[in-house]
Amino acid sequence: MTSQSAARVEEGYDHAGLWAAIIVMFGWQVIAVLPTVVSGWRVHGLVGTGAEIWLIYTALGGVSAWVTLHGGGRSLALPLLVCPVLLVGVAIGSLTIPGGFFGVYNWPFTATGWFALVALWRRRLPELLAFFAANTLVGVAMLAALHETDRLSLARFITEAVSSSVLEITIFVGGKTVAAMARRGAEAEEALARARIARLAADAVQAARRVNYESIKGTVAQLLERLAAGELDIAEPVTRQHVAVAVTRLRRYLVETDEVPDQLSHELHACADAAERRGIAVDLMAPVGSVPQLPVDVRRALTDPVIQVLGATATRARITVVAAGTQIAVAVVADASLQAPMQATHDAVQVTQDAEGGLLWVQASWTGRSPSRL
Amino acid sequence: MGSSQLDRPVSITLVEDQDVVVEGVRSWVAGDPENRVLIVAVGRSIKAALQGPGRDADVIVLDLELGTRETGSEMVTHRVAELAAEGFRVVVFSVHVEPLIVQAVMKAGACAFLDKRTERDRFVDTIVAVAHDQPFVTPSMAGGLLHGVQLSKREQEALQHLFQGMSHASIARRLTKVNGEPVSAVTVKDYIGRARAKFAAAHVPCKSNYALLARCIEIGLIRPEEIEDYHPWPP
Repeated sequence: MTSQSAARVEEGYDHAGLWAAIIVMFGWQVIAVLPTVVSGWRVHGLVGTGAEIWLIYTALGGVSAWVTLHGGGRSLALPLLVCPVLLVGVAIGSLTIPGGFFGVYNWPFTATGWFALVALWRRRLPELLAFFAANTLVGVAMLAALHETDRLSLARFITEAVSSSVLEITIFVGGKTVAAMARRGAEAEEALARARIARLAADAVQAARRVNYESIKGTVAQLLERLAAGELDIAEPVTRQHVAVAVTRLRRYLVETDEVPDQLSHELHACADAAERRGIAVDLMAPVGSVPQLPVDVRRALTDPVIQVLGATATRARITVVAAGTQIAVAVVADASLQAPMQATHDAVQVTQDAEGGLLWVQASWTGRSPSRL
Repeated sequence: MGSSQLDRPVSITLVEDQDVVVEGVRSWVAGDPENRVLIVAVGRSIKAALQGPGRDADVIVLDLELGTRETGSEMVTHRVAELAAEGFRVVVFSVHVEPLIVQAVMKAGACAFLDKRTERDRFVDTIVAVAHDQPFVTPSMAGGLLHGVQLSKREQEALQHLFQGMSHASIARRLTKVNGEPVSAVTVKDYIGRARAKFAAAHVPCKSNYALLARCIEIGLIRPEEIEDYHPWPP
């Protein structure tokens, strides 16, 4: 699959090739053909010089250049407009310009290739070859009409036909080949860049997982060791609460590196899910306002109070997130009680709590420095 | 379409396609010791519910997701504005409690929003308050009202705490006066009521919103000049 940037590189090279063809087309028309027309005018007068053909070819060249430079010429409309006129010009020039087919002033046959090249620039090679075949056929017909079919004339015609088409075909093929090579080069560069980014991302994920592993060790492993040593009794409510908190933290750590648009809500979902597995009815409300991307330490400081409360919850909890201005407030209301007030684990996060009639309300709020951080 | 002269039970029309929910609502209404609410019509669709006596009920309780086995379920959020424009007091009763949906139906002219999963204990109180055009706000509604209108800091805080699930008394403890003393629960109710009135004034100019604003002025919650877009009803 070609990426957009690789396609742009190919288009750039293609455009450069097109400019080269246009410059050669007008250069040939002005430097090589125009002096012939002018000198013919001086010798045979205006009618016998092909001046009208020169003007028509120049106009057609201008139209072709304008259309193709603006990205057009992909349909058959432009070739169908230009090519027949070019061939008719060859026929009229051969029949009207004095001196016969090989006369000094019969220039159209050898000039048509450049105009066809520009008009067919966005088309396929077989169509350009078809034009040169048609041009050759018209030339042969004109030789027959002018009774110039002797062997010498035919040999000379073949030479002129080949020499007036091979350069155009070479530029066409060369231009397309260079553009395609440039595209492949750009694609290879992009693939390399993607591989580097993937490597960096993999390194970052690995580093984050290593940090997670250390955190898990700090919460779960210590608990398991104390349980194994018989220092904690699983029948004790406090121990069960510690286990519930450790398990919920574990669930949060596992989803911290997930690539989701709203990581905070994603982690709260994991916490709620862990609590629901213990039979607690958790009502996790959709966030109010737009929750920005927050660093993992801020997210942990915001979700940790929720985890603590869920660990102590008896039957039900309601979790809400409100993003307003530069503040994010994560709150939980539950039928829970905590033995000690909770402390914030981040400088920019404030934890407040209140209890009333068996219900505990805890709010962790983070205040950003400015709206631009949101 | 009801009146504010309610020396009788508040009549409601229930638009609900799940029999189990209808039975649940019947039991909550029957469980009210003061018998303040009377169900006069039940329909699986808005059209069915509003045929006959359902059209004259004080309040229409509308589930946002309706359907049949044949057609499948369909969200009827867009019908709220139509019902409000016809002069009905609409209470939305739904599981779709996402703040943006709540805000959308409130902007469309719904009088209140009830979370089907968690606010059954507020059902009767909400219906009665809406029938009396009182500025009543449920916790699920509070999330939708937080954005969409310019609120004072206190109104914002009160709504936020209500959305979080705190009682008026708990909110009062959180909101302290200049001298450090907590405000009263009545003051909290006023903050929430003012926020509700601002929302009504800022959005659809329907009959129920005007009635709500008139009641807020009557009880001294807001002054007429505070309502920038206020126009007497009918125009």
